[in-house]
Amino acid sequence: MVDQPEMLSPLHDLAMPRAASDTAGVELGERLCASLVQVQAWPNTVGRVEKALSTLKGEITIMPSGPGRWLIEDESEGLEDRLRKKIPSAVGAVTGLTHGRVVISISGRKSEWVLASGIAIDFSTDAFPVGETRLTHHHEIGLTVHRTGETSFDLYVFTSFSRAFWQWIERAGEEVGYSVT
Amino acid sequence: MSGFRLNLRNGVGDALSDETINFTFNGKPYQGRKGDTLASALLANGVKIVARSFKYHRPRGIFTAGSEEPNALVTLRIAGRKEPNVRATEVELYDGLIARTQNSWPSVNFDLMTVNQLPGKTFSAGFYYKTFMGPSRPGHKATQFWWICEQFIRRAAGLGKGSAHADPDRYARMNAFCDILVVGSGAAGLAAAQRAASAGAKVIACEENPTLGGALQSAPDILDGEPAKDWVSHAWEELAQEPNVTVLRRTTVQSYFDDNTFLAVERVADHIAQPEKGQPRQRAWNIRAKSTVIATGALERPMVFPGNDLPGVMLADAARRYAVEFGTSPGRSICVFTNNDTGWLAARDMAKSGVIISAIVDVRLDVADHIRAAGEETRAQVRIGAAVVKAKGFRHLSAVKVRDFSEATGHVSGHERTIPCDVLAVSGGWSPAFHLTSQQGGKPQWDAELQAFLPGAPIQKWHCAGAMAGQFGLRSAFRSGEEAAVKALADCGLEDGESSVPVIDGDSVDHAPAPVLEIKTPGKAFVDLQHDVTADDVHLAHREGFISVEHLKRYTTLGMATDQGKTSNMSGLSIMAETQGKPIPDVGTTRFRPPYTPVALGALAGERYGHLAAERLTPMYDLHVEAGAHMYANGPWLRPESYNLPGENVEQAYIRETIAVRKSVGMVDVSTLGKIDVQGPDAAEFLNRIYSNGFAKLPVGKARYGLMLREDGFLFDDGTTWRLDDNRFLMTTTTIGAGKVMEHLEYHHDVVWPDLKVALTSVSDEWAAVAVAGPKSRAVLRKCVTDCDVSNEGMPFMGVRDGEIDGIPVKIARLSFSGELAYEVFCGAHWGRALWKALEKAGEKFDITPYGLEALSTLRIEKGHVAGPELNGRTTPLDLGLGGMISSKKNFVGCALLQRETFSKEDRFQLVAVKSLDGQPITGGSHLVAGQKDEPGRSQGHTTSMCFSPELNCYISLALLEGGFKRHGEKLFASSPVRGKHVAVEVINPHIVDPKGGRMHG
Amino acid sequence: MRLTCPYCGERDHQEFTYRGDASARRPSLDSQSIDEHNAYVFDRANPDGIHHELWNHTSGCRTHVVVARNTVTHEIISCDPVGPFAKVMK
Repeated sequence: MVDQPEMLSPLHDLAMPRAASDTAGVELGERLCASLVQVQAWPNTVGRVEKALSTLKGEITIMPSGPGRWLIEDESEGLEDRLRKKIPSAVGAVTGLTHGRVVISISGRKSEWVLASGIAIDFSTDAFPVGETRLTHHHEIGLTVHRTGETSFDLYVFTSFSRAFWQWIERAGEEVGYSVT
Repeated sequence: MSGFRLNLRNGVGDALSDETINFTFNGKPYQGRKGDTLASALLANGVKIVARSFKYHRPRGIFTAGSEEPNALVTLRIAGRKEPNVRATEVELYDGLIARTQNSWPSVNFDLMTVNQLPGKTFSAGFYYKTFMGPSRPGHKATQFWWICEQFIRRAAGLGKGSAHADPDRYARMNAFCDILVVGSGAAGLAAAQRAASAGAKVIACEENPTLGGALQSAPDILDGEPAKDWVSHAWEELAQEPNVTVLRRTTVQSYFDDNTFLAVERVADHIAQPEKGQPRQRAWNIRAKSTVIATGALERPMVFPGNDLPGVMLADAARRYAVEFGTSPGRSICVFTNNDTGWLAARDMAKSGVIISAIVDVRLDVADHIRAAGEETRAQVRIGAAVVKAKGFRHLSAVKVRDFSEATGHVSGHERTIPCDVLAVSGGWSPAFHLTSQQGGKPQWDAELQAFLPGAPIQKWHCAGAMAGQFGLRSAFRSGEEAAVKALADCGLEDGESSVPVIDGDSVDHAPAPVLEIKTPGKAFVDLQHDVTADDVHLAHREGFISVEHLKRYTTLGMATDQGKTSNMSGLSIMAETQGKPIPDVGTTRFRPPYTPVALGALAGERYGHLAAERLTPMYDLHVEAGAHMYANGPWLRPESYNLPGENVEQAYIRETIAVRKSVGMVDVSTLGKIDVQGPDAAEFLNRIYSNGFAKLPVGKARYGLMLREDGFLFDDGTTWRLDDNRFLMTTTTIGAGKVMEHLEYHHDVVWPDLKVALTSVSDEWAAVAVAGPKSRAVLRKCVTDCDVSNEGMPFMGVRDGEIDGIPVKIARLSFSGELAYEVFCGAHWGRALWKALEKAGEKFDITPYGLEALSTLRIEKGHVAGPELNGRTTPLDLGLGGMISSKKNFVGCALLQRETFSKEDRFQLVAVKSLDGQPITGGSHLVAGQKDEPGRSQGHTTSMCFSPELNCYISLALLEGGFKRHGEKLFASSPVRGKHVAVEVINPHIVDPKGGRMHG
Repeated sequence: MRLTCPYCGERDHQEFTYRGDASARRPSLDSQSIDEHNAYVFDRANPDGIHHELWNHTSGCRTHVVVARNTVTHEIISCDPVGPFAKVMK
């Protein structure tokens, strides 16, 4: 047995840290998930799946992503296997998406402005409170947007589109100034 | 500066600052002040002719002071930043601004094209239709005659030219959401925004101009003891501080779409020399509002009389604004011609600013005392019950002729008097600017008192206020603004808010004009200045039977120019009504179309990814580029076309790659395949209904090639589906079909069979995939795969196994698209690069050759495997020789309509291959014909996918040929007349390589 | 045009994919009748007024929505979920 090699982000040489200028309105960053899994309940098992998810331990983020559906990020590996044990086929479907998304984060006082310049949802906190998730798109790129704070967001971007999206968000950030962390 | 600048003081020229601005117009340097528009600066410099007209090349001057300007269209800036057809009345002056006139040659003051007006009727209404759509001329069909003439006419008539250079600037977008959108920042808009904001509503207010306040900017009234201009500036300043209020200046609400969505274009950096770093030139706002208050004011309209297009004739309120706001006298001596009170007040305000008013001419006899008193303040001669019958002057107004006029009969009489003047300020009353509501289909309603159309009943959540709603005068504007806001608040479920109307001290004005817009005396009297449509054109169109307003508009092109007839519609309608002997409301109005003013294409396009769409990249993209691959756009994906060695062209490269696969082993990035995770207790049943062949009994650890049909029986997509578990499948689709297959599955799950317990998830991006193909492929896998038996017994054809390569968890399926022994290796996308490198390393010994799309395609064409060009939406499985994949044991999507009689006809297009007999390549899409080049005969089919076949050492192509299954051996021609190709071909069996399949099963 | 996804809320129509007339019903799986399938695939009314349209929120939660829309006034009368979770969402 050889150890698993490290995962390589499509943005590894694009999203190099860059110092913040004085006027940086946003900070951009990217990361891969240690585990990212989608769980789909059947119409009559929603409660059972919710219960199974509530027993998950560790650094877990649960994002609703459709009727009876959740996207779950775990800061440690192996979530797919653990969930498959908790949620057999009769209860729901478990799909690994760890490699299918790259997380692009944006924070700072102008983050709503930069996101709104390309994404047609209402980013004000009354319409999109902290901790909530929105499914939307930017042109043809599907996005799961998770609001992690008043002025910070995690965007779960399809891996194959992540470079295109990164290039867009950098460009969009130019008007207000940006740094990369 | 020449002497047109007035003595600037408080209340005269408040828009200007002391800063001097240098600019050039037609190459000549001029000076203006910061705060000037290009129009006001040109007037201040005594520039009278700023354009030549569209058809007749008549000299034209500045006509308005706003975005409704029909005449003063100029080209701004140079090279990539060049912008044609900009209204000089909207251009804010900046240092170094370069502007030029358009549509004149050699110069605007001496234009040779003026000859266009000599032959009189040449360019009258319907000229294009009559000349070019009429009967044929000897030797030419009418349309051919048009082709010959077009180039000359296009040069003679028209607007500015765009730049051939790329625009270096950015055009940004913004998505905005609000409770109430307020359009217009005048008294009504301000009142609405204040009221709405006080109730806690989220408000966006848009103002087209750089300064807020609309008419209040130059109103003589006193509000709460302050001059109107100061009061309104303070009010907006205060309001803009509120956290729930966004105020956008230089922002035109251009379009009103369904469900209260709007496009507004903000001119972010048009008023500076060039945008700062990162700053867009313009920003297109997509605004979604729960409700809206439209307070867009009214547009003054002109009078129609001979010579009314001479430079020096302008709208009265525009002349007033140039004097009051911009401290510029539009001329030395100004005559006012009006049919309503506002013309008199304009004269008074101008006189107060220091402008010399020579005469006031009003068609009415009955003028209120306080208005006459205002006229007397100007010390001008006053003529009531009189009309201007002609504007005189060579290239510019020098005098007007005035005669007595009877409002009752519309006739002129008495002596003709000449009044010398260089500016005629005309007012024909006011038309509410209901363009936005009209865009949404709002039916305007005629108000006989105001002699104007009002916006009519709302059909969406809009509320009109101020002059736009016929509520003229400041008191009505403030009141109606607040009323509209209260209704809009109710739309949003919000309380009424607080009233804050100022104390107003000012004129009381009756805005109702006399119903006179045309003075009928002989001569060229213009209705539409921008399209050179005269009153005679409208009469002629009527005589020729163009009765409906829509027909008249198209026949004469009245109101169809870039200004959409903002200043001409009412005069046009009134002339039509009179010609037809009908009241104006019976003639009707045309519907305004978005946008309100011309919008730069850049602003509409905004910033998009790449050329048209976002590029999708596989995890191995960088490695392909480093290896020198020619990248090729395959749908949104960028894929290697071929890996050219130094000196190789694409054809040489793909032939080399194909041979390498057949002889030894090659590898190709197939990460672009669509992949769908299908899970659930009913997953197998679901697939069985979707695919034409059986999937219910597919064993775990096996893959199966499946065909999907549309419900109409035609082929939809194909691919292999792997059974990973009893209730878990991994479906692969074609690269291009991935999205539509996903929607097809979701439709059938959600809508057709919602009771099935199945979950569908796109996992296209989760998996990287590499196909390893060729006789040595097993040997390569043996070298690198652990935890998995890849022998023929351990992994039989179509077997699916888990394993590891260099620590990377992989799924391996023994599948073949090339016809060779082959495997597809899948791994998590973030390991894709590592997998590719590991396979390359394992294959070193066998000279493993990376291959691109061309070789991939060549391999499958030689094998007779179908792909996109054959799955063209018009073929059934039977046509492609895949009848064996139609299950007779079950029903599936498409099974009923596949039984249609027509699908079993023997002369359907059927899959064959053709090979070139004369060494010529076969062009894709060539028609298969029986005859020689000079007499090819009818098309019997067409070629689909072509390549050079190393196996047969000639060019081949797959083709769809009538009754093709029974025509192997026949000799035909592949003809592409547009490319001049006519290639002799022989029809052959499409399964060229290893037809029995020994290689891939070995 | 704005459509209301029963799961995600009101969104621009660009997030949705039009999937055709929502009143079309597929014949039962047992049916091999060409007439019944012809009607399902090809026969469409073209109403002047309220039309029931099927939209998929493809750029969101991918729920199908039946939109009742007036083809004359463009008014959206209702947006109702379909699919396995329709009952749960209503």
